[in-house]
Amino acid sequence: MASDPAQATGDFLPSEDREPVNAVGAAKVIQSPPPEQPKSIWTRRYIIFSFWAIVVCFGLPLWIRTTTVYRADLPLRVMQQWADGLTCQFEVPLHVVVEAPGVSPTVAERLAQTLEEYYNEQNLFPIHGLRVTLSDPPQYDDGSQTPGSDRTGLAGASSNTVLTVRLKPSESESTALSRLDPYEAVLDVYYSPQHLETTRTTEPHTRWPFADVIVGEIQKVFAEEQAALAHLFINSGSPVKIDHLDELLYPQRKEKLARRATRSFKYAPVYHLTFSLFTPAATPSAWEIKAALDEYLEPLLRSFTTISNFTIDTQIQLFASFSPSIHGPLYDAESHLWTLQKTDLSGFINAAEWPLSPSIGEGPTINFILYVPGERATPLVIAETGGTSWLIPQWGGVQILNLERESGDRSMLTEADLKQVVFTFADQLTSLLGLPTSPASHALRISSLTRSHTISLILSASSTLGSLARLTQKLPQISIPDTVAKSVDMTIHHLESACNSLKAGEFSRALEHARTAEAEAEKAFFEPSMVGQVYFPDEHKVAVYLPLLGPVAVPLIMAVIKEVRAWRAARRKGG
Amino acid sequence: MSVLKQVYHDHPKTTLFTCAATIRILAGVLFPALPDLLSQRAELSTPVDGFKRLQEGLFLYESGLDPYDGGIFHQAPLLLPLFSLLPSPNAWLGRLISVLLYTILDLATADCLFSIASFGVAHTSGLFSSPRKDRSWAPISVAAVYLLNPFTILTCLARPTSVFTTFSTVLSINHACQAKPTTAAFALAVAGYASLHPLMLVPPMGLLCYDRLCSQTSTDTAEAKSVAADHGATGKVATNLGVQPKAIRFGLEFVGTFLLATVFLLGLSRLLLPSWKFVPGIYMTLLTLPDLSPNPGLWWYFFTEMFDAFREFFLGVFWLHMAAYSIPFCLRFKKQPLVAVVLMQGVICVFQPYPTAGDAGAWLSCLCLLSHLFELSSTHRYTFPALVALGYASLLGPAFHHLWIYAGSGNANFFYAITLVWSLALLILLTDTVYSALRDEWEAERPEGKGKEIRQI
Repeated sequence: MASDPAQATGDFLPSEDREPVNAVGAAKVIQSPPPEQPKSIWTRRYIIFSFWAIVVCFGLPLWIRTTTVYRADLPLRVMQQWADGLTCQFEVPLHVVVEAPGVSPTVAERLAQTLEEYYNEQNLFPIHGLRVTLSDPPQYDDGSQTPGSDRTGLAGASSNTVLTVRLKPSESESTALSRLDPYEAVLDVYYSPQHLETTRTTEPHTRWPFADVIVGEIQKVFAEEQAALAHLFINSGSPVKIDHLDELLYPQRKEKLARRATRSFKYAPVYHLTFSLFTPAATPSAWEIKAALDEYLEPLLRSFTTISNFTIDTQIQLFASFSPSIHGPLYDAESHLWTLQKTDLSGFINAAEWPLSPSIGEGPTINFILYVPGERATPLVIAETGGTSWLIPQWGGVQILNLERESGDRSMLTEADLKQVVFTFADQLTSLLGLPTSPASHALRISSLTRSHTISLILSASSTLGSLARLTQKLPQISIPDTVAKSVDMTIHHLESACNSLKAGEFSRALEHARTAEAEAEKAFFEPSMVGQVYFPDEHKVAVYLPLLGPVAVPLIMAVIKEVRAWRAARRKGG
Repeated sequence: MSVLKQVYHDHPKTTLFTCAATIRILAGVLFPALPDLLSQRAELSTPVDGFKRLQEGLFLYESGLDPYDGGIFHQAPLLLPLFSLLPSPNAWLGRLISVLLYTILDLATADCLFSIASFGVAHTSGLFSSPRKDRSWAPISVAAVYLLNPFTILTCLARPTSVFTTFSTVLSINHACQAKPTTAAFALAVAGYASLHPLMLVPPMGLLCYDRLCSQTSTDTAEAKSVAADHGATGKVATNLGVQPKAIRFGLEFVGTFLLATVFLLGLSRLLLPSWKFVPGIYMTLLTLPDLSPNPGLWWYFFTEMFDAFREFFLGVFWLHMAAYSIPFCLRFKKQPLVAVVLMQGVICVFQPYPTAGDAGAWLSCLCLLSHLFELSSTHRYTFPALVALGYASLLGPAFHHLWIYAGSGNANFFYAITLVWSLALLILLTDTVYSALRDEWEAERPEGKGKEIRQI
């Protein structure tokens, strides 16, 4: 309402009585308006006062109450320290256990000391530190333990042990031989008595060749991990300084690590594996995928349980056609093969029609596709290489299974048919999960992956904390709910635990803490009630308030100004 | 024909009321689909008073559930037992009976208006007597404006429960005019209990009641002194200052009665229902506007567009803006308290969160109580453009609403623009009345200025 009663309270005058604007001299001639009665002046003042009373008593508290931004206290200094890498000095102790049945305790003791000494003096990567210990009381003298038995030997090693070096006597060899166990984290070293003999005669300052050989082997085991960690520190923009960078990361290795990084998925605590069978025909319409996966893939997945969990889905899609963007397989008359061009591989997945859902619940989905070409277009291979499988980085793997033409029954893929298929999928899965290709022992690769994921998660959570701290400092108008403060506290707590566990060599617990820290940090940073406020600068508030409150405020303020002026004029006249 | 004329001359009120009731019931009988169609129109029923929502609440109530669970029903709990007595309005009989109930309500409201108009409170108060009192309409005309108003007739068929609020408010004015503070406060409490905003009518209504009480006591004493034929208002006041009831004491009593009545009504509602959920169910809906379905008011579009962070603040601003007029109207129009009541009703009718065309119809009829001022506003102000704009908006409004919601060929801005025109027209009428009332008061003081052009200094 534009003309509120406060404005309308002015006295009205008949038009003949009004003063002309420029009538300075003539003013006395024209009848001046009768003076306002004090009663009506006071009515006007009361009205103005009653409007202002509502503005001040109700409007102001309302404004303060509803628009004050709630900012929970954040430990900004600590957050920034984490981001600057000041809080956690990365330190990855590698516990190596020497198991030497049949070697006298003093010699074994000395060997362990020498190994640690030699390794640490040649080490280029100070974050890795070797701790060599002897395995628990070697019971060689009672003769009940045969040197070759694996199980009992490993039982002595604690769960933090990264690598077990097992000395095994060999008769004839003059040079020491070593072999990595493909499944367990065990390095078998074959020695002949003279390797140990040398120690007793030599001077303390001369080197022990046998120990040098073993240290060389251990270095080979951890070389790729060191390079991977160095690569990680550099790429994440972390302030950790790496010495000997060129030696650790020579171009060839750098390229290999970069390729691994582009292929592999971002770390997630749960991955969804989807195995799909596509065929352009009506057959095969069944596959013994469950049995095959249980038999051939399950052991691999089980070895990953300390890092991630997996869910598995399978599906069959019959009469699946290629997408129109690819030319389709061409028949090569010379080799009697149907061939796919390399350029077609990127368009092989018919994203529009094949039911490959991008995500099942939380966590990324890894797709594995088995394509069985129709009878007419068999065998189907990739033109350039003759291969039948390929990997799609950060998405999944594809495989073509060419069934034998003669095999009568095409309707069912048996477990035997699927054995090779699942092996290939397993291979693709390890690439997609970023498992390093060396060393040769699977257990060592898994533990190496655990450590690099832990460090990467700690770095990522720390940098998220830093971003959040900078954001809250830069935007003083952003609201910070209590949930964010709670998440930040949780993040810091878990980061500390992760860092401590890492130092203590408890890598799987460190990963667990780092995982929680990362999840909490992301939750805090992407808090929905904060995100909306990020793009709402102070200037916009003028645009919010002014259109309505401006027109309301003008008559209110003008009335007060007029009234004060009139009051002062009256007082001057009176005084 | 002459018999009819005779009947009309002898019993005009009976004729009018019979006609009005016949129109409503015939419309219900001849067009059986009409009441249900109208009860779904956004212009006539809103989320807080719609008849369909009342049915939903009634069903839950009769099934023994809390009707305020689920956030559909936001109407007064005491309506539930009343409507549960009636047969289901889905059948023709039930529909007819519900139309009959609302017809009776309309007739009662019209009767109240008739009696208010016959008191002549609008032009003659304890402190003031208008020079235009002979220009005011006959009471039967005021009742006719209410009963034959298309907005009122359509609202009667659409059956929103805001009609109960309107009736209680007008009843309260009627009792205030009869100088019965207790019943006036109770009737106002019923209205406030049903839809909250009549709370803002407490100051002007108290003023009206106080003024009537004063003039009644003065008339009594004047009669005792047998001072006849002296209508000079100032003389009256001067002679009877000592006999007048104390203003502060009266005010406290009036507000106290109002509060007691409200507490009584809320307590009674609690007895009917399993929990206190109805309090936030009714009043928080009005205060926080969770349902933004379009209506002829100014709120829904504004809060659709509002940033979430400022929503609460502007809800408060809208309510405060509406409430801010209550006291200043009383201060300025203390000589013409009925004007203050009617103006405040107008402010509520335009600025309330869920207004309907029925509210506007009721307010326009109440405006006719101030009919002695029409001469002023029609000669000096914009009554004609405002009335034309009102007609224009009431024809185009439903059309634009249909285009937007059903035909899909228009958008929300069409309907919002027409609700702006509608509100503007009502506001022009309101400000014109403010002008006329002030000018009338001024001319009573200075009869020489009558009919002259004026300006504000």
